[in-house]
Amino acid sequence: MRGVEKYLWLAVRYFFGGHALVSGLNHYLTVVPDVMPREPAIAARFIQVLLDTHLYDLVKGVEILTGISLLTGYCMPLALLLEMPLTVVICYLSLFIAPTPRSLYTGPREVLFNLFLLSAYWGYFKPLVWNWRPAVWPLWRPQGSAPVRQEPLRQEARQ
Amino acid sequence: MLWKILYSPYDVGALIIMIVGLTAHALKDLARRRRP
Repeated sequence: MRGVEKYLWLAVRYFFGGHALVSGLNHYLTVVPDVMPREPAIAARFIQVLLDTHLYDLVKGVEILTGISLLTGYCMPLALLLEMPLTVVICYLSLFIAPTPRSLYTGPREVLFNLFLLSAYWGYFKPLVWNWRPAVWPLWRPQGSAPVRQEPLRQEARQ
Repeated sequence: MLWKILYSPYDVGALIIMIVGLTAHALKDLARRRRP
């Protein structure tokens, strides 16, 4: 990438990564009070259940890893893929469950930034998306072996 | 009102990280261009 395209991508990457890292670290270090939806009751209950089951710690852990990945440049497609379900849930909560003027702006922003960054790695995801009936290629097969078509495996299962 | 929508401490932190990152890349690009 070059010029404006490169710097636009870098700006989104650093902003999204920085936001994930700051938000994730703040959960553990509490530099500023965490922003939790108090209304409606269902949103507050949802967050409370996440906190009580410690799933919120896991969510913030994934955010920290995504932030580190985006800021250092390591494993970015994987980190962005892991972050996607979180951003979708954040966006859904922001738009439909606990909408506020700010959340109506930040919810879609998260999804748009995540999708934009993922789209920069489209070449990696293309075989996953456009391969309608992929052959199995198990981890436990010898390294370097080719993907195995499903038909022979079905025969194996019959025998 | 607009300030309330746009402002959050997380966004400020993210903006600072973004500016530092972009500056580092810009300086690296400049140094590369100057090199013969």
